[in-house]
Amino acid sequence: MLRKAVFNLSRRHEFLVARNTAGKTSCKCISTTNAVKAIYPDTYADPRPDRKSYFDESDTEQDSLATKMVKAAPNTFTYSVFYDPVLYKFEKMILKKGKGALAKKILQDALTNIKIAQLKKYHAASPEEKESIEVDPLVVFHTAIENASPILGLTRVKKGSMTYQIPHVLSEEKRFFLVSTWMLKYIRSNRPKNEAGIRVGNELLAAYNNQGTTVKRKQALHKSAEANRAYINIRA
Amino acid sequence: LRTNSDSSPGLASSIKKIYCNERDPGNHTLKDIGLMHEIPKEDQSSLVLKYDKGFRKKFLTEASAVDKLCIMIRKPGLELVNYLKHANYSTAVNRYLMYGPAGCGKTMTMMYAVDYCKKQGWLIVPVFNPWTWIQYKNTYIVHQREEIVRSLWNKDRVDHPEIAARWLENFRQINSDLLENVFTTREYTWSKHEKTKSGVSFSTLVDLGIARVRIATDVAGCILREIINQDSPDFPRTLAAVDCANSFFGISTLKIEPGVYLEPNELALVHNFKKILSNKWKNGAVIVGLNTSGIPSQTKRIAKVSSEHPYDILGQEGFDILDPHIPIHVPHYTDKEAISHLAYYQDRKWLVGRSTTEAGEAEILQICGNSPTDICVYCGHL
Repeated sequence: MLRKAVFNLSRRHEFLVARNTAGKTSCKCISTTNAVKAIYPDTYADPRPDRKSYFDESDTEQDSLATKMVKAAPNTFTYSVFYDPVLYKFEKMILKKGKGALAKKILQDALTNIKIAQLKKYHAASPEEKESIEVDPLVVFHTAIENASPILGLTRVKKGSMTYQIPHVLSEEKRFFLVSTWMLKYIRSNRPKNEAGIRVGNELLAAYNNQGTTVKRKQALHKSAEANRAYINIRA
Repeated sequence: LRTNSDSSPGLASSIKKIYCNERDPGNHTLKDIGLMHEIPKEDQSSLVLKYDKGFRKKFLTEASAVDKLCIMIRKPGLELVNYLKHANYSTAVNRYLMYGPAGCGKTMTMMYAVDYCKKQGWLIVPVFNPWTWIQYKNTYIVHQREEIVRSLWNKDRVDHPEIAARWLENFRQINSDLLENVFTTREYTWSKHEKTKSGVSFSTLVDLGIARVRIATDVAGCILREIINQDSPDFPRTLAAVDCANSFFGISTLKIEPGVYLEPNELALVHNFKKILSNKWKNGAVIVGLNTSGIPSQTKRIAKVSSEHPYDILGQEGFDILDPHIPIHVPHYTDKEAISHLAYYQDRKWLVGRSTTEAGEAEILQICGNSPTDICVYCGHL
């Protein structure tokens, strides 16, 4: 029990450290390290999967890799040009029963289907409309997740005999978790008429255009948070 | 030392000439290697067939998204067209066998030669996917299987009524206007009350076969017999384009009685199309391609073939039938052709963003090597 508690604490610490150094590195605030805190003391620095930071001259002394010892990097960090930590985390949410190759194939099929749908629009449009159509599937993926992620969440607090629902700000980790679970739960719910890659691609495209069930669910959360805004300062 | 940069564009974006201006494959030269040969929309309706398409499924979805259908000009394609130009058509038929590693372009060079022959006015016999004659489409869903019937012509053999009707529709689509000017020389009796006289054009035969599905395989056999025993000087030159020819010499997984598997020799379609692979007829050409990815397995006891040599793929019987042939080797890409493939993708906006940089290109070529199908599959999700 103690070991598990220490493990969870260390993950949260890693995530917070990565978030504070977000301005210096170009990767997003979602960390994927699972190094245990108890092994490494505080003076060790985090590994960075970023090519540009090694050629960057404006490096402060606090987190400089030239002066500090570095923790071991996990096997999933690569220096390839196409590495994206958000995509990698989404792939892990799709994973079931340890079948990694199937999860990777589903994501790749989803991205190709997005590209095919957008390219058909692009080649059929007039040259004035061509500048506004986005063809890169990665950009579509990132904007879809931003459009569908909520900012405020509700918690239940019992005071006396009444339970109040209080709105509060969500952390970045929790935002990504909510978006991906809502999307995947909707995709897995009914009897499938299509392949998995087609269903994921359609849902991402709909979120890019501010349509679909995940965006509706986020808007419902925001509405109920605004309705309960009188109870913000109730914790006392 | 200098690393590949993340921001500056790579080699493929500096190429200016991507498409070839010549529409006739007979006029392409060695200087045109690496350029793309485009097939316009008027010709696509007769080259891309309805049922058993020559091109692969992934290639066609890509072509419909990108709005263009292109074949790359490579050395084996130029070699084939050069042989077809300078052959002697008053003597026996030449057979051209294409071999090489999987996924390197054997089917695409065959479609390039078919495009050349159509512009010269030849008659084409298209056999693009005979794996459907030998395996069930769905092994688990019984009511979606296609029928097999005992044939009327010979009791030992077995017919495919629906599949032969689809082959006749393909035959009509690819030779649209030529069929009205070719006539038969014999009388055929299908049953007690049905006959067709001699001197009937091919188009009426094909319409008969599509309407009466029970006779369709025999109609296909009669068309082939007319082509092999041609006599008149007005008969057009024929090209027999047979892909996946090693399916005729292997095993089948069809059953007409419970417990007994059929052999490919007992199928009437296979028996008839083996005759056109021989060299006993004149005034034509035969192009043969091999395929190792659709091999059926009877209760999973047969291992897949891993070598490239045609003797290992065809077996003793198949190699003896095709024995004096002209081999054409279809290898992987050269470095110049791989970069022109990426340049075509960048022109059509299939590759956008960080895959156009120097570091992105180097990574794509390192992972995929120089094989065409790997580049197609890997560049899809970037």
